Amino acid sequence: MGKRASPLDIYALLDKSNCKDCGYDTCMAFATDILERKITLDDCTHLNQDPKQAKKLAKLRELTSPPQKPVIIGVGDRKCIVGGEEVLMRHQLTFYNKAGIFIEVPDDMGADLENTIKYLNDVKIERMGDTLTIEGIALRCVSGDVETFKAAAKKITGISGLPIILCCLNPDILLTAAGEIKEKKPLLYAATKETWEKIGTFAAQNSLPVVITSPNMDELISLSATMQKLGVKEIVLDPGTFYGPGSISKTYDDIMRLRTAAIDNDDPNACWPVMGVPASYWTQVDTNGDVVMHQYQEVIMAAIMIAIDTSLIILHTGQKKDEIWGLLALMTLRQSIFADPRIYPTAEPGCFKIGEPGPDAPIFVTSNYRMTKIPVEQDLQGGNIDCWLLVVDSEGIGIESAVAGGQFNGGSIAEAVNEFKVFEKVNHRILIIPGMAARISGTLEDEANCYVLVGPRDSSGIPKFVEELWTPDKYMAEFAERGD
Amino acid sequence: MPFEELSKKLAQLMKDTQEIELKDVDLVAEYLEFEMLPQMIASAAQAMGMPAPGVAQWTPAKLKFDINFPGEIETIQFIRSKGKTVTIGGEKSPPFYNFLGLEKRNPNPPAVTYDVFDTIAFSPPKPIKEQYGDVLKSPPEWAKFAVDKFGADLITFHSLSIDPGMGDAPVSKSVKFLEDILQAVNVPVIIGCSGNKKKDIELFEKTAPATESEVLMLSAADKATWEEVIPLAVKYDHNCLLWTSLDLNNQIKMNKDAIELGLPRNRIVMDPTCATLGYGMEYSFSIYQRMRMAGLLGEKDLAYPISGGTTNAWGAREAWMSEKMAPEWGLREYRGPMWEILNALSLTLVGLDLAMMFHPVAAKNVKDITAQFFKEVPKELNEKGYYDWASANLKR
Ligand code: SF4
Repeated sequence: MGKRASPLDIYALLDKSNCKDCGYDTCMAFATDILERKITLDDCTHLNQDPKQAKKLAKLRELTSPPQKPVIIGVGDRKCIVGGEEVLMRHQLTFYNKAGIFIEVPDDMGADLENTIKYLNDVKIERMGDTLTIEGIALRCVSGDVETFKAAAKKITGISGLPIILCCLNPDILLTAAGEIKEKKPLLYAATKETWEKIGTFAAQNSLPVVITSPNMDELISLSATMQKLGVKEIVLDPGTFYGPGSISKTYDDIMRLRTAAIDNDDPNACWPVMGVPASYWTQVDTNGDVVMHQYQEVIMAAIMIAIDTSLIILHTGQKKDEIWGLLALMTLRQSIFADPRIYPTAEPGCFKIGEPGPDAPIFVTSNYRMTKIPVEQDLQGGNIDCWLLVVDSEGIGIESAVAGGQFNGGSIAEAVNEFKVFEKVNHRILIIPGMAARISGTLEDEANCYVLVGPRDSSGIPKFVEELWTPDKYMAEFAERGD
Repeated sequence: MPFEELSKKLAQLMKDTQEIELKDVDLVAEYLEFEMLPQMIASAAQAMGMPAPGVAQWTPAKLKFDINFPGEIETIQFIRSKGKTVTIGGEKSPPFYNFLGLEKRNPNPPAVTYDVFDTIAFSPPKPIKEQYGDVLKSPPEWAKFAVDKFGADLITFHSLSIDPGMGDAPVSKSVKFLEDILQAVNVPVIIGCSGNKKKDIELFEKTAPATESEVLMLSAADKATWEEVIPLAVKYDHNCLLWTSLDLNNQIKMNKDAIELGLPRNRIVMDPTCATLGYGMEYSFSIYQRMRMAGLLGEKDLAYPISGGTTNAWGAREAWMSEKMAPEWGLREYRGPMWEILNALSLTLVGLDLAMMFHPVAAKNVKDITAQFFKEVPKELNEKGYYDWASANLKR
C-alpha cells in the first residue's frame, strides 16, 4: 500500500492552538478523524481563515487526498461521487464511495422515455435502515441523430435530478448534447485514441468529467496522461468489459491492475475511478433462448465488479420494473461490501415494549445483531402485535451463527431474562425463541426455569403464529405439570 | 480578462513579489521566470473560474506496479477410490488473478458441492423443491439426481435428524444412507453433521471407518468436538473441515491444534463461517480475504483452502419469501437462485475454494462463471461487440 499519512503528520501542519472551534478538544483528535475521513479540512476555522496557513492547508490537502481520486457526476442532491478510495481491500480501512449504478436508456424511446425516467428516478428499496437507490442514467445514442440525442438529454434533466452519462462514440454528437446540458455536469462517454483531443478540449473548457477507454492498458494509461496534460480534471477509466471464457479474466485483471497501480503504487495516470459496462453483454453474446438466463449473466458480471470495488457500472437489466430482483440482489451486495468494517452493527440488548403489552402478552427472544433485530421489530410492529422483545447479547452475531457458535444459548438468554427482569412484566413464564434456535430449547428451559415455545424460522411468520398458537394458559398448565 | 492582459499583470506581480519564488524554488532566476510564468497564469486563471489551458500532445505511458506473493495455499484432494477426484487449493495468487504470469496462475477453480439432507423436515424453499421433486425423500436418489441431472462433482450428505432436537434418529441410519449414496454415485462425498456434540462424534466414529477406502471429508470439527473428530480424520485418512465462528485467531489456533494431533497439512480445509448475503456476509468476506492474503504472503497457519456453506443464502427472506408476501422484490424464481449465486460468487473472489450449495441453477452458474476465469484469454478480443453497447438496440 502507498504510505498513508499518520495523525502526527497531520498534527504537525495544524494550528496546534486546541481552540476547539471544530468541536474537538484538541488538534490531535481532529487530526485522527481527518484520517478516518469523518470530517474535512474545511472544519478547522484557523486553517481556512488565516491566510498565513494557506500553504499548510495545501500541503494537508495533498497529504489527505486519496490515492484514487474522486470524480463527481451531476449536481444537486443526487450528485454521485465515484472513486476516491484509499485501500484495495475493505478490511484495510473501509471502502468509501459505493459503486455507482447507472441504468442505460436509449435516446429513441419516444413517449416511453418519460415513464422510464420517472421509474428510475423513484426506484428504491428500504433495507435495514438504508434507502437503496440507483445513482444515475446512461443515455445512449441509438438514433444516431444529434437532435434526438440532444432532445432526450434535455428531457431527462427536466424530469429528474439523476446524474447522466452521455454515451456516444461520435464526438460531434456527444459534444453537441453535452453543450446542451453542461451545467448538469454529465459524464462524457467516451474519449478514445482517435477522439481524445476534441473531447478532452471540450471537457477541460467546461470542467466536465470524461471517460477514457481502451482495452489496451498502456494505451489507456497514455490517454490518461494525455488528457491530464490537456487540462482535464476528472477522468474515469474504462478498460472494457468483455464476456466469455478467458475474456472475463482480462476484464477482471484490468480492473484489478488499475486499482492496484492507483492505490498501492501511486501511479499518476491510473489514479482515477474505474468503470465497467455489464450492459454490453447484450451486444457481445448470442442472446437467444430464455431471456432471464441472459439477464443472470449480466447481473453476475455486475456483482463481480461491485465486489471488487469497481467505481461505476452501467446496467441494462433493471431498467424495467419486473427486473427489480436484479437490482435488489446487486444493491444488497453493495450495501454489504460498502458497510464500514470498523463498525460492528450491534443493537442494544434489553427488553423492549412493542405496542401495549398486557400481562399475558408474548415475549419474543432475538439476538443483538442489528440485521436480526431490525426485521423482527418491524415484523412485530407491522403485525400490530402487543408484546415484549427480548434482545439478548449474542456478541452481535445473527441467530443461526450464534446458535452454532454458542453465543445464543440457554445461558446467555437466561442471563438476559434475569438482568432485564423479563418475567416481572407478565404473568407467565413463557419465552418464544426463533425457529432456527430450536435446539437450545431444553437447556434454556432448565437455565431460565421457563416454558420454551419454538417460534417460526423467520419473524415474518410471527403474526400467523400468534394468531394460531399463542395460548399462554395451556402452556402454563403444561409447565405446572412438569414441575410436579 | 484576455490572456495577454493577464500575463502582463502577472509579470508585473512577479516583479513585486520576487522573494516568494526565490524562497521556494532552488533555481536560477532566468530559468525560473521562463518556466513559472505559464504555470502562474494557469493557477491564476483557475482561481478566476477559467479552465486551465492545456497542451494537446499524445503522452505515452505504461501501466506498472509491483506486487509479490511468496506463499502457496495447500492442495487438497477428495478421492473416490474407484471414481472421481476433486482437487482444490494450490493457489499462488489472489483469486482469479491472471496477470502475475503463467507460473503464478491458480491451478484449480473453486469446487461446488451439492447439499443432500437426510430429512426435509426443515422444509426446503419452494424453488429447490421444484428442481428436485420426489427424490428429496430419499438421500441416495437425491444424490444420484444431483450428479446425473445437474452434473454435481461433489456431494455433501448432512445428517440433521440425528440431533435429539430434530428427531434423534440412530446414527446407524446415517451410516446406511452414506453407504447407499456412495453406491449410487462415483463422486466424493462430504460427511456433514447435526450440531449436537454427542451425536456428531458418534456419527464420525461410525462413518469414518466405514469409508476408509476413500478420501472424504469430515464436516466438521468445531470447538466442542475437535479433540475427538480430528483424530478420526487422521486415523482413517480423511480430510477434515475445521470450523470456527467468524474469528481469525480461533481459526489459526484450531489449525495448529489439528497439526499437533497429526492431521497432515494436505487434509485441512478451513470454514471460518459463511454468513448470509444481506445478513452479515461482509464479515465472512473480509475474514476470508484476510486469511487468503495472509496465506499468500507466507503465513503457513492460514495457507489452507476455505469452504463455506453458501446454502445459508436461503435463510434470507429476499431469497425464500414468495412474491405474494413481498411483491416489491420481483419473482422469487429469479431472486432466490440469484441470492445464492451472489453469496457464493462474491466469496470465491476473496478465497472461497469450496462452496456448499443448494439450488442446482445457482450451483451451475457459479461453476460456469468461475470456470471461465481459468481459460486462455482469446487472441482477438470482441472489441466491436463491446463498443456497440453505446449505440445498439439492446434486447429485452
Ligand atoms: S479548529 Fe483547528 S486549530 Fe482549532 S482545535 Fe480544531 S483543529 Fe485545532
